[in-house]
Amino acid sequence: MVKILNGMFYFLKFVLLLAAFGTSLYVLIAMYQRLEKDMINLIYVFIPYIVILVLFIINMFFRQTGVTKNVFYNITCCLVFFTIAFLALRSVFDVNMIYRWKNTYHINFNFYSDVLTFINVMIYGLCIANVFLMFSESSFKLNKKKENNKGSTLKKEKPVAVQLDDEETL
Amino acid sequence: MIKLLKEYLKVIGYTFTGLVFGASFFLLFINFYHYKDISTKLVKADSSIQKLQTVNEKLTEIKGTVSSFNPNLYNGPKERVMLMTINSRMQLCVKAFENEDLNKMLNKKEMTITDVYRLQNLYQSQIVNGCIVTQLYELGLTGENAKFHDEDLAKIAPFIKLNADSIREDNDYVSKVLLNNGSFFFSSENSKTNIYEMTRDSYAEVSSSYYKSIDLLLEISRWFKGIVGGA
Repeated sequence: MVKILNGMFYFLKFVLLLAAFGTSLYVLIAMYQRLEKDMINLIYVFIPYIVILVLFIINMFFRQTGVTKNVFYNITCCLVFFTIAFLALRSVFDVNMIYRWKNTYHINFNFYSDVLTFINVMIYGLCIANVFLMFSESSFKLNKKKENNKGSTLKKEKPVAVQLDDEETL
Repeated sequence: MIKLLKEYLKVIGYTFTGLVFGASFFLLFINFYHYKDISTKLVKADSSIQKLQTVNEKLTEIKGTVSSFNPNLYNGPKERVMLMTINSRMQLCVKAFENEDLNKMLNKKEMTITDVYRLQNLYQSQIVNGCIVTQLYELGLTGENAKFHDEDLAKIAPFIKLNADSIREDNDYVSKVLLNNGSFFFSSENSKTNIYEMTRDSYAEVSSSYYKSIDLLLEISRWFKGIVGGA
């Protein structure tokens, strides 16, 4: 069950990342057009998205199970990307925010720029968590190997104990 | 040692994930609440709807005065050109008051904050700019600035100027106040009440200014009727 859930959220996080990126791009392009800013500067705003995408690719290619099979991390990613898409969509479609009507684009840039810091903080938070979980994952493999070794020695000792019991009973 | 360090890395990793989870959850739900808060509807009282009906009666009276005036039949001492100008100005004002969008907005039983904002904008462009400032304000000028030099008009000119000035300045701040509804931090009962009060007060301000405008036009039309008599 957990495996199916994890697989679902793992796939969903890529879809939602794309949705969050797309909606944010739409709002920010309109915002930069309105402010007559150079579009090349948009790259700086999207650095967190690029960083998280690179980390996801590393996770995928190096099969880092500490991240890819971490249900909590995947759910958090889904929630963050859903929130980002929701905030971008709200700045476009929430007709009850008056600032929306103040410009010809009908996008509430004021609201979006308010939440932009939150968005960056959340994505960088995911990046940091990803790196920590990435390094903690390798320890599991080491532990498993050691446990396996210990397990094998115990298995060897078991017959001895049985033998001792046998001796006592004798 | 390495094992312990890696366990710590795991704990820190989970801590960051948890913090991000909390922040995201907070931001998402506060936005849901804020969305609900600002879409609160103001249900108009029956008395305010009845008051709107009196506007139609006043408008009918003004229309009667405007349409009954025939410059060819007028034989009084006043300048015909002046009377025709005032009459046509009143006609334009009646058209402004009959604006379909404005009336549709005014006759709504329930109003959101956006409706109030749109109403304020329509009122500003149609009534304040289209009637009060461009048509009636000049009737209130006296002395060197006066457009029409007439003794009778000079008597009511201070009244027209005072009212026109008051109407002009009435709802300037309303649109500025309404703009604040998109800014928020914590959604609480207090902020919810503030948004609702903002909607209610702004609507009251715009509608009272609207009534003031129709009353001013009615007073001018009555004065005009008294001047031209049965012509």
